[in-house]
Amino acid sequence: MQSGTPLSTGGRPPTGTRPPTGTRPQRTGVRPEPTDVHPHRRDRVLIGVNIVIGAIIAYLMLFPLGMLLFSSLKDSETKLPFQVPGFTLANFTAIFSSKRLVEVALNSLIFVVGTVGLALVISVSLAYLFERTDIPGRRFLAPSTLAPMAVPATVMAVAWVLAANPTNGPIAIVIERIFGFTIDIYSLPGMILVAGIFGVPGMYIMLAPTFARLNLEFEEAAATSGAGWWTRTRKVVLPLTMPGITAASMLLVVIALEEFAIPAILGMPDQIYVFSSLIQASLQPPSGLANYGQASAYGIMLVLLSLVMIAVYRRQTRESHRFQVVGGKGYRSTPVRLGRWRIPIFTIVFLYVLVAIIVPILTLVWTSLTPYLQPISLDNLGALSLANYTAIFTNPSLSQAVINTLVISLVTATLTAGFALWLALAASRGGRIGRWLFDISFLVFAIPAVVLGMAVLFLYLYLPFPIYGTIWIIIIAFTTRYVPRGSRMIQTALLQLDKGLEEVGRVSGASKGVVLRRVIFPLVAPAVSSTWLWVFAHSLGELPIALLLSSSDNRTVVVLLWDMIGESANYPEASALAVLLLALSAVSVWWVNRRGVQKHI
Amino acid sequence: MQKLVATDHSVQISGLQKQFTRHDSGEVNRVIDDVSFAVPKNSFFTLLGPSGCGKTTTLRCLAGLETADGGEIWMNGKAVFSAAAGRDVPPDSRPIAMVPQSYGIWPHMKVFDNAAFPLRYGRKTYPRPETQRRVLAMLEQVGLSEYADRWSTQLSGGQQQRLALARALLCEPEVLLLDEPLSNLDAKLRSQLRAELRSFQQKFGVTTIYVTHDQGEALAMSDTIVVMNRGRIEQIGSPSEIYDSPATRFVADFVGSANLIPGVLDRPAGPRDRVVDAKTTLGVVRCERFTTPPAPPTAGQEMSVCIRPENIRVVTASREPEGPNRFPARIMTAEYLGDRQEMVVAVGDVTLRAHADAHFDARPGDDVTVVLDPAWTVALWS
Repeated sequence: MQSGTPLSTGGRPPTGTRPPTGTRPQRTGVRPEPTDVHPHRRDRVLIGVNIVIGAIIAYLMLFPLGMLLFSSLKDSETKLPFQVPGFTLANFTAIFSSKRLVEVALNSLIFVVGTVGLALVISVSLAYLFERTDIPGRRFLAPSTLAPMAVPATVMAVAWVLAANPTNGPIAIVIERIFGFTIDIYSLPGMILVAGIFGVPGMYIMLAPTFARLNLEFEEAAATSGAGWWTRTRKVVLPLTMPGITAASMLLVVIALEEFAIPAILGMPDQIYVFSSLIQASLQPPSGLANYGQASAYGIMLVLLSLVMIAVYRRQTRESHRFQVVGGKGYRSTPVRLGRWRIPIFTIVFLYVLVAIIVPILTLVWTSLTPYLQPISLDNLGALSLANYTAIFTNPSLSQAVINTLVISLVTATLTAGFALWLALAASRGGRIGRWLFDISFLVFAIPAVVLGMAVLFLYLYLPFPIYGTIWIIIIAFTTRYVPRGSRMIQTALLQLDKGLEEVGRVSGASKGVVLRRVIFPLVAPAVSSTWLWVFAHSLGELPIALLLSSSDNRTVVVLLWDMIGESANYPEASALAVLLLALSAVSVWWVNRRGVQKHI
Repeated sequence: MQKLVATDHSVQISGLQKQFTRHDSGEVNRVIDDVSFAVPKNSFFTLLGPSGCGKTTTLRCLAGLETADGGEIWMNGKAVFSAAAGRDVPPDSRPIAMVPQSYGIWPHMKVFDNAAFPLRYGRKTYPRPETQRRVLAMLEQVGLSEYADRWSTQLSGGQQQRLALARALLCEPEVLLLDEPLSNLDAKLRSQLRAELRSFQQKFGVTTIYVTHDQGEALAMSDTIVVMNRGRIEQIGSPSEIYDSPATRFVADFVGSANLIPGVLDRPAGPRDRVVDAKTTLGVVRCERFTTPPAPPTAGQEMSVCIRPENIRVVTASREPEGPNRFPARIMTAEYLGDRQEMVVAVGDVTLRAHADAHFDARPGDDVTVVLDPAWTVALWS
């Protein structure tokens, strides 16, 4: 548009008649009045661009789902789905009649319930302690409990393997010396422990505002009626925060159900499978042939399960409007006094931070500096070196993985931020089609990462695009996964914009395009850059999709980590890679949170 | 309605219609129902009414931010909207400027850039030095020149309002649209800015359409007031016409406070009659003030009598000689306000609010006589 710079004197091609200037002095840049309301050529180009972007988004969202459904109805066993003629329910009958299903379903159930339960207990306690009591050291403890947020799940799992493996993990050794029994991290309780700790930050962030904003007057009213601390907490605080707690739990159920890295890495040695790790194992078996049909059938079941959970979650959050008492002013409540429990409770929380977060990460850093796996001790201090880090930059397969990861994350973050902005704008001003696109993108929330990876894999084995085996197939799958989330982050910001800001621009004589560029874009820019960073951080550590779509040339750092842990057992080099990943991810997560955490779904 | 030559009007609206259909019930809600008026050039024109009366929607239709379902809008002798011709000029091509209720000050721009927006991206763009000169001159006018380099979020509510006005005036509009611009300010600032706004309007001579629900603002600032209710126009007139000669019960009640007494017409009134008598529960009330009835009134026709509290005199019982509109009454309550007493008096079953002399010596329970000044007693036909 010509009037894009302040120096411009305006003026489109003279397509319309000039308005009579009346008694006013000669105008210096009058835009000709349009004589009709038909779209101009530029508008038609814009419409074309919009149609193309809309079609790309619809394609990204719908095709993988369709492919998944298609392949689950093919009795393909070892062949690829589209190589088999005819449709059948054989895959479903096969998995429903196998004993495996019961075992995997039971494992998954225990894993999900255990993870959510553990995360719930820890995060509710922490939210209560940090927001409503006078626990000492809050400024140091609260951010520390949030630290796992910056750790990719794969790195977390590797760190725990190093810290708590029965042979030489420091936590396992200490527990054996003090309590006299061995703990096994390669077990269902081990997975639950790690995934539970991993789930705490997300849940804490959802719960802390609920506890912080709960008006102290409710509790004071109960106290003046003669209710003690326990009665007050049980009858007033918990019921009022219950909607928030339930909603957060539902969301964590969905996340735990699709969690791949932790159950896969910790379950692999003893062949303990949950749904997500079983799907990956049937597609990429350590030995033997892949069973595509069965994997798709399991995938469909997993999608249905998380759809149900998301529906329950949405219902729950809709209901919670009744409890608007929790909202209101940013109340700084005078805290509940812990009294003589202050120091013991502080010690427990401090121990939690130490054991759950600091020790595993320290072990990881320690291992990354050692030439071979050895316990932490002063004697070994001399053997430490940066050799593993130098290897990352000298070993071509390692440095290639680092470059792949960076390129994939940068491109994915940029594509996703762009599409997400477009989709969020389309949802609010794109009419029915825009809203429809926005709504169908929600379906992708229900596709667990491992299933999405499988669907994209099938799709590009079938379609004649030469992207299988390149980083582009991973970028496409990541973008598909993150656009729905990103568009909701941006939409939240758009909805908070006063409509008047936009309207007054139009009334001041600026065209839609100028208002979009000069008013809307600058105002949502912080949300877009937050989205970019969020996607960047998550792309760095995304394992299941990258793993399923990996081949020799497009391996990312996490895929390499997976291989090193599983096959070559090269822990020191793997740790160095993990530390590098952790540092990158931590910086971007820290950056996002500096702008304040947004909630959305 | 005023009958002026068309060219003297900045804005003309005829037969404007806008309706919303509720999705769940299919119920049709007429937000604007056949609204027509003409705004003379350079006048201050106010749309007054309670919330939900359609005044803001009318303003947004004028701005082009909403599309009406029927009718026509003309600005400066050109149709900017016509449902019949399928014509709807977008907001950026209408000769308007607007100050929205929340001011619409862009938080990502400095004060100067906010004001300069219309000159950089608007209907008429200027070279940089000219923009600079005009913006600074305008900021000087509204008393914000020393804030030009500040971020707009650092301004107070009153300053934001002035900035919004400055930006609107820099659009050089034929028609300035103001959507309750004073409603977000505290009472003291509001009365100060009310006077400022009116003096700016007179200085720049720009036709102004002002939307408000505050009758005080409307009476104080306007040349012409349109009172709206449920999407329809109740009355159009000057502030004194609206206050002294309300046309309907709604206008009488909404603007100022009024005693409304239901009744029927005593005898038919001819077109030349300056006085009508109404039979009410008080007795026969003489009304010397009324608007031209829509149809010649007939005896027994239902009507209302309106009398404002300040036009009721309260006197000691049986002191004055006989005259029209004198009724015996009893004082129910009396509040001393310094300059007057506000009383509620009962005439039979009817209670009336009246302003009595501050030092009129009477207590609740005393018998008095009330006099409804016939010159200020209004007959309402609907």
